Parts: sequence; C-alpha cells; structure tokens
Amino acid sequence: MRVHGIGYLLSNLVLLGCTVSQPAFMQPGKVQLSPPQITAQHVFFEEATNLYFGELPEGVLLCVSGKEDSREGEKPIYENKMTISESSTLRFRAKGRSFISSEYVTQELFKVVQRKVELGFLSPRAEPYNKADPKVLFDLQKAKKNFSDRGWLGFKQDTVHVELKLQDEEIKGVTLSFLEDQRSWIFGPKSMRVDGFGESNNLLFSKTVTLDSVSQSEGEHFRFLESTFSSVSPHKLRISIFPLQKIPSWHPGRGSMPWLFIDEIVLL
Amino acid sequence: MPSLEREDLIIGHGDFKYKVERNWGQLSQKHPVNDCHEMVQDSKGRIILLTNHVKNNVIVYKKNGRLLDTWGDTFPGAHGLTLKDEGGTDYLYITDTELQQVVKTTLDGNVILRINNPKLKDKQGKERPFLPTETAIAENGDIYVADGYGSQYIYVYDQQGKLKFEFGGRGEADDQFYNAHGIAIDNRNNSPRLLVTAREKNQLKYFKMDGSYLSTIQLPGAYICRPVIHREQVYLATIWSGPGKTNNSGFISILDANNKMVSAPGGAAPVYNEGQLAPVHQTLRVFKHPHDVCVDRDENLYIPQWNAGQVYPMKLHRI
Repeated sequence: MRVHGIGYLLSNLVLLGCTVSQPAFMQPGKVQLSPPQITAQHVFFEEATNLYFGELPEGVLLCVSGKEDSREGEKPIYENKMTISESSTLRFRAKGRSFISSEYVTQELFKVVQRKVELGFLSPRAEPYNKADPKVLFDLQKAKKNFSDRGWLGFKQDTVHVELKLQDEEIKGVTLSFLEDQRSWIFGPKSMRVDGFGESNNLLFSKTVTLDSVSQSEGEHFRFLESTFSSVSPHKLRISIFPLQKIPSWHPGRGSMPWLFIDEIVLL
Repeated sequence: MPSLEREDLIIGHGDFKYKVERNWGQLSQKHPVNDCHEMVQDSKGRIILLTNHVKNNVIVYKKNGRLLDTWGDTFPGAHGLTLKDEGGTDYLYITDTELQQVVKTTLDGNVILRINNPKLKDKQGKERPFLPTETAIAENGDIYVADGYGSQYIYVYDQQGKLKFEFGGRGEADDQFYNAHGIAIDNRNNSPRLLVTAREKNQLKYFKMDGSYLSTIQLPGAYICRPVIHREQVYLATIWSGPGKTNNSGFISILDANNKMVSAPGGAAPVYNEGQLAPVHQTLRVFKHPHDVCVDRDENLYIPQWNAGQVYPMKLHRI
C-alpha cells in the first residue's frame, strides 16, 4: 500500500505524540487492545521509507488516519507494510468489534535532503551520556527509544549550543529531534533559537521557537521541534537549545533540572 | 477469537491457550498487597504468594483462590521466592532487596538460614552492591543467588550459607549480565544446567553448574523475569515489551522443549523468520507488569504483578 500527500503542516510548532489516556486493563466487561507496533525503516528519508506493522490478534484491524484532530478519513490497512514517499504525520490504532479500540500511535516521517554539514562547536555533554560520536546528530538515523542507545547525546545544563558550518546551501528550516521519557527525568527543551550568519560573520536572521507547556506523558516518545524561515544560504548556523530549567511540580523530581537527550538536527 | 467479556476472555496461542480469571486471588483489605512478586505451588498443592507488603509478606491460597494463611512482616523488599523439596520437606528461599539478604524459611515462616551481603569489592576496591533478586537450589543443596539489582554476579553458596564461588558480573560479554533478574536449573535433558535471565538484553543464558558459559537464547523485545521450567516448557513473565521498556506492556511468554516461543498470552503470536524470533509485543491490555508465572499441576497459570495498582494475582485456566 502506498500513501501520498497525507497532509503534514510544516510550521513552527511541536509535533505532539499520541494522546495519553488511561488504558482499560481488564475492566468489568471490557478489554482494550494495546497500541499497535509500528516500525519505521527510516524516520528521515530522501526518496521513500517503509513502515512495518506488528502482528495483531485475530479479528483485529489496523487503521490509519492523517490529522490528529479528525477521525474522518480513517482507513483500514490489510497489509503488514506501507510505503511512504512524503513527509507525513500518521496516526494508527487497532480496532476490533469485541474490544475497546487501542490508544493512538503517532508516527512522524520527514522527507529530507542529505546535506554536507561540518560541526563547528558542541556544548559538552553530561556523563555518562557523552560517549556517542557527535556526528550522529547529522546521520539521519533515529536512535532507539531507550535513552542508553548510543544514538543519543545527553545534556544537563542551562543552554546547549551547536554551531554548524555550511557550504552556503539554501535552507528553509531546522528540525530538532529529541526524546521525552518523563519516568527517566528526560524532558524536551523549553525553546530553540536559530541564528544564521553570512561569510563575514554577519547575522542574517534569528528565529526562536518555543515548546508548549509540558504535559504528563507515559512511556518514551520521539518528539520534534521545528523552526522554519524564509530560504537563506547561511555560511554558519548557531543553534541554541534551552532546556527546561526545572522538572514540573507534578513529577517526583519536581524542581530538579531534567535531562535533555537529542539525536538529530535536520536542515530543511 | 478472544471475546469481550472478561470471564470468557481466551488468550494465548497454539496448544497453550488460557481462560482468564481476573479476580482469582482477590482478598479483603485485611490482607493487602503492594507488588506481588513471585508465586510457587507447594507439595500439598497450595499456592504461595510473596508480596512486599509487610502486613503479610506471604499469602497462602487454595487453588480456587480461597485464603488459607498469611505470615511475614519482616520482608520490606521481598522479591524472589523459590520452593525446594529437601528430603520430603518444603522450604522457601526468599530474597529481599532492601534487607540485602537471602532467607530460607519453613512453609510457616520459621527462619532456617540467612545469607547476608557478602560485601565483596569490585576491581576499583569499592564495595559491590548486593540486591539479590532470585535463587535456584541445586540437588546437592548449593544455593545459586542472582544479584540482579546489584552487582550482576551469580553467587554460589553451600547449604550452610558459605560462599563457594561466583561468576558473571556486569558487562557485555557472553558470560555477563545487565539485570540478571532470574535464575533456574534446567534439568529437562537430565543434565542440569543453569538458565539465567539477562533482562536488559532480552536474553536467557545457559551456564554449566560450575558457572561456565554455554549459550544464549534471544527473545527480542521481551524484558523477562525469571525462567520457570515446568515439564517441557519454560514460562516467563514478560514485564515490559517492545522497543523501549514501555509501561504496562507486559504479557506471558511460553517456550517449548527447544526453547522456541510457542505462545504469548496477552501478546502477539510468536513469529520466526529464518529461525529468528521477530520482536515480541503486547496486543491486549490484560496485564500491566507481570512479574512471575506459577504453573500448577493442572497446567494452570497464576500471574502476580509488579507496579499494577496493588492488584492480587490472576489465574489463567489452561483450555
């Protein structure tokens, strides 16, 4: 099955994951289906990528829809693979007549152009999450959801600076890929500022995007913070990531500085 | 096809399908539980539960779920429960991660032996942690202790509690572990071998009884507790599943005589591609965090759960 043109709005906002609701564990007369297992061949891809679907119980159907705020257009999937050739945000859930439908699983996919990037500066990472090669930030390979995966760079400080030397290529945005795993005290950043500089180090533009206030979530989630701007050809980019300074009051670690884990910076 | 009504819910695959009895072990608040960690069946057929609630660490049930007895108020970190018939008498081996002890008791709670933290040093001279999660008892009385939340060593004691040797430790090597959570003695081919959980790597590892490494069984996606060997099968509470350790994603894994997964009650049907198990995952919200499987003589299963809202164990009736 091939899906084209499912709308994906490239704007200055965070692409949120699935809504967290209380699962129905063996409630009287009810059994809920678990969220379906979706495996992306590549989250960042140049031409096309495949999604693979885990086994479902007999009589249960996998359904996909595009927009997060609409249940219209939900379609059943009868195969165990789907090929995607455009940037997309897809929502999946398992449905079966004898069960409560599963919670939604959201999968973001980004069609990108591979660019030549040279890392000029990177703020020091915090031990023990400082072992990964910083080049993983630009390899277009998503890390696993486990924060101990070597694809993640871990930080615990006020500001994280990343400077990139470019070859005067035209770009129109930056996507920061990060992990949210609140159980492990890992939260997303509060905001991100992107400064573009010309050859003589003159400031071409500066753009800040802010993350909405943090809501409670269970489990581990890939999240993305995106900043788009008019097409420019900077010689250098300075990306300043501002982590959350304090863990929110509803968390056992309230008041402490959370961890920030990032795995990719993608130039659009 | 599984049906909606909970009392009719059938889960599992192939020859290992079960009808779920959700309220099997439910008791009044006079007998509270926190985490329900492990369960065993004694030689009289009674089902014994270990919980870390210090009002009643041990709860003894009939097979129909009726309460028979409770005891124990001194095990705040009660975790591992192993039953061993020694000369016609049943004994319990309890590991406690807070007390940092292994305690051997009679079935009514009289303490026979305590094994304390051996306080061994690591290569840097620092004292190793000792947070024992499980025991396995050999026919000669040797006590194998899995330090699954501590040093990742397997410590081997004689029946008087004297340390004989150790093996394992934390690391990536074949004979090392990340979270050696469980241990059992596999005597299915009449030649005893140790089967040890390497949970963070989704593996079981075989060792000779002297601690020499033999082989590894890959169970991708399955964060398993202890192996429970009953007749020709290995039963495993899979506390989390999937690519991350997603909360509330547990189910039960059942391996056949060749250690091939043949059923996953609460999970997807096991699929092998070119001899490799495809990553496993939960499909039904039946279990949150199953922590052990007790198999009775009628092949029914009893499932205690960790971090599941202080729920009592469920029973799965073999059909």
